[in-house]
Amino acid sequence: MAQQIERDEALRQIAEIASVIKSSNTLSFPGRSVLALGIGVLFVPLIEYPTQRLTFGYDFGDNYLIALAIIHVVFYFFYFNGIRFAIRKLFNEDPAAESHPLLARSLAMERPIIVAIAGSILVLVPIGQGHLAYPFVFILLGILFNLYGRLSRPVIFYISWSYIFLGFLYAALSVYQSHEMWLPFNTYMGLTLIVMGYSAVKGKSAS
Amino acid sequence: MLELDKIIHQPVRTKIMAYLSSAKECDYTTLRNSLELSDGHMSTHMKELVGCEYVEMEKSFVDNKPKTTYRITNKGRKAFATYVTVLKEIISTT
Repeated sequence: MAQQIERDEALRQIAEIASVIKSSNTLSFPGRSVLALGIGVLFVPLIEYPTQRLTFGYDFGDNYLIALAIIHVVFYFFYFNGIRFAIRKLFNEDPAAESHPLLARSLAMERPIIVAIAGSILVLVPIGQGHLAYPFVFILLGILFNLYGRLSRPVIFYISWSYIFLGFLYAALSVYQSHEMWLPFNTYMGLTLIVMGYSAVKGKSAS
Repeated sequence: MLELDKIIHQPVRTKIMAYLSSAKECDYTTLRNSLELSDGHMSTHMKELVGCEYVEMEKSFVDNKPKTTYRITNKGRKAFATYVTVLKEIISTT
């Protein structure tokens, strides 16, 4: 049956359609998980120092650097994935289920990034270039969050650029061989992850 | 006289068609969560859209769990495009 509607209703319908299409093009950023990961990052110095860089003082001899790399990759893989898994289970947070199917696929971008981070540590530390591992982490995370930021919230996009710049700055400053230089960078990463996570959680509850 | 498609001209169905016209295809859970619909609303309106062949449904199993995927058909795409065109005409002529 044919129907006629008024101009106002037509405008409302068009606005509704535009809103649905726009929301279907927005990535649901896993705010709570990222916030928890930020807190996890801030705890890293409290893990590293008392455990003597996760070695508990054990002498690995000539294999020290290789062991150090493997221990760190394995430990932090389970540490950060454990945090993320717990938050997702606790708050039923599944960004893939709340996003446009094509955008959900872009979330899978984190897998090659995580592999690249692990690979950087496993290669750079044993060849004595461990001071470049953290800059690699910053740059690779910067690329990942840059993608997320473009599809979700501007604050994530801007912070992602700061990661990339700080990655290069860290690499440039690493010539000074300071053993404590990772601390301010680590603090910055932890705090910015909290900001990104909080922004996403707040934005979601407001929408 | 400007005529609107009666099937699409219903708030929930308009949303579903708008979403599927953008996403091409989508599984039941994603669509329901994205549009914040209840299971009752979803099944009622999807039945209507599938019945008039604007949307096609595919049932499969992923990790031993049933998964229903909805896909907009060519007929549905044309109907939705016409619906939007008619809305624009109403706005410009009134």
